[in-house]
Amino acid sequence: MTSSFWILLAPETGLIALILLVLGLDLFTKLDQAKLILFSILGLFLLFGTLVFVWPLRGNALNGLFQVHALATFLKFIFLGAGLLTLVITKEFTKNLGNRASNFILLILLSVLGAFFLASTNDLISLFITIEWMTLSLYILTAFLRTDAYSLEAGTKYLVMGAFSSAVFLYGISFIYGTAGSIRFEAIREVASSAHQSPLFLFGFLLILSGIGFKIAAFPFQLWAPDVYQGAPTPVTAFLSVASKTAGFTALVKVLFAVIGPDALNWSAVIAVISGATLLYGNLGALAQTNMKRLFAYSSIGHAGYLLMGIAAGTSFGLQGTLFYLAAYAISNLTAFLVIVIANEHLGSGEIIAYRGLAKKSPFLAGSFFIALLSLGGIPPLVGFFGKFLVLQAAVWKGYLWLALLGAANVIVSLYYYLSVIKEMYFKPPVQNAEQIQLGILPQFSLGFLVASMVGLGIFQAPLFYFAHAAAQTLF
Amino acid sequence: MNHLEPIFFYAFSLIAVLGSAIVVANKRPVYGVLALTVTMLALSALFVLLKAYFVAVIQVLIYAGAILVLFLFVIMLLGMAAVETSQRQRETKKEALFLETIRILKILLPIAFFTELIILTLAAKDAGIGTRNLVGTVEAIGQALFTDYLLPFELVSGILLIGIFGIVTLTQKEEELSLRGGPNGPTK
Repeated sequence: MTSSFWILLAPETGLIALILLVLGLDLFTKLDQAKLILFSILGLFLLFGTLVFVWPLRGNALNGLFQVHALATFLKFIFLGAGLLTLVITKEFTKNLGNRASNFILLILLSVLGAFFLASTNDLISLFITIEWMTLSLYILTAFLRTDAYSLEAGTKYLVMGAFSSAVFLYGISFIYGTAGSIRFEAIREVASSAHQSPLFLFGFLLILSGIGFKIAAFPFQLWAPDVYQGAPTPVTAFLSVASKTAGFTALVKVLFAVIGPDALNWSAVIAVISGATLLYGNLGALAQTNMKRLFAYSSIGHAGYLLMGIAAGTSFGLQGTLFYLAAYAISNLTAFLVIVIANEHLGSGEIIAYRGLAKKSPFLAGSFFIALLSLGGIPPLVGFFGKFLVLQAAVWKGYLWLALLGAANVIVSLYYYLSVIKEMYFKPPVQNAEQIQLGILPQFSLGFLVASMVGLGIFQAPLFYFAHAAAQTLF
Repeated sequence: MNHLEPIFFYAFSLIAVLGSAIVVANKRPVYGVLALTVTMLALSALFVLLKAYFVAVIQVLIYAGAILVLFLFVIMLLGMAAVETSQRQRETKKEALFLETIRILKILLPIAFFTELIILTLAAKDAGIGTRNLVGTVEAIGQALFTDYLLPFELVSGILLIGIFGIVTLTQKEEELSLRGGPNGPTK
């Protein structure tokens, strides 16, 4: 079924309209920044409608360079959800942004727009440009607090490392283009599936993998993550850990499954080894952390290991597991960051010790954090458990028993540091005054919704499971 | 003409490699920039040999013409003296050793990299990578950009927009500027 250009591009068009509207409101009216955020949140919420509308559609636009299929729409749901919740988190952070909050919102909206195009790309150049689009806005957002030394340091580090990895990525594309003679996925796939590849093609593939490895903070390329996550403004950290990671995995899935193909080049073993190393680095590194955002940086490296595990399986089921895990991770991690941003504002510190006795100050906040941490750790019946279950199962079926065992062992390691945060919140008395934290309606509603979806999707996995199934099928 | 092409190719390649070697090995920034200009010009000659005329012209106009002149202006505005003394002050005994190691690595790593590339290229020669008759005229590039590759072309405009946003955001005046954070302060 082919549909017309405008129908296929409805979510993107809608988002561009929203960006222009927010920009116009900011420039020409004296609308207060908090109201502007609420307006953007409402706009993004309405965009879910266009995604639901696009979900059953399949088709190409712009000479086949823009594709709409179940996988693209699934990923757009995650990107939109991440953007929406990041704005909710930003709402709690507004007073740190001063009169520049509108720029902050616009950059996040633009980043989501880039991610939308990324999900639909069908050639290496658009893939590169959309990834750059997202990362460029994230460089600016990371260095947004110009008077905060940590933020500037994080922004500079991220810029330098990111520029280097982009160069590597682009260099790899030039080799692939030189040997395959095309940048379109189908054309390259024909070359990749032939029996004999030129060494230059393999070299290019290796360079592309390294470039993507940086974006998802996988093992040999993960060193930037803790400093950047800690220094960036908290909403940006949340966005980095969910949207940027999902974008990296989108690129990886496209390169491995659409460009190279699941059976060619035997890449599965390489990804399995990277997955194992990433798991160990992230989870063991997290044990020693005292800063909350740094802890989450390491834990997100660990989660990248699990996400890679599903990809390493190289099967439709493994990809489905990874997609399910991505959605579960997005929900749980954004819940955690919503709590972190509110708690940091009230406690005045981002150290884990400052969370002592949070349960007394706000039972609701601590309770949501409790559920989010357990979901991230993989405790049944929460949604995070089922994601881990799927990727481990995929690894076992592929024959990577050692990887599955390593993953299971790392669940225990991760529970140690997640539970130690819970211990601080529930079983230690508050250090300072134990005044109550008052929550606004928006965070209360969002936290309630997120906790409900973590529990609900953990018990009735079927909707998300089949959703991910349909998405994974498009590449097989 | 055809039998002369390899001679031109190797001559310009040699100039490009020598130019970039001077950039890496040289200590004085101005010489570095001038050597880089030579590299860029040699590269544009290589593009001409590949029949990529448009890219060759752009290479001269933008890289050699605009960007490198910008580099020279930055060096001029900063002042040569400032750049050189700050370099000399850094070198205590231990650091000098460290810098020397890095300097050697800076030469060795590219050599290793290029050797690997040459080996790969020679290996790829037998694999029979297709030669294509493409002519990189302005017309051909315009046609490709506005028909086949319209999407990436339009997406680049989004990146430029973000660049503008970045400049405005990072330089815009704020009502109050006070240094938060630092070693003991709260990080938000």
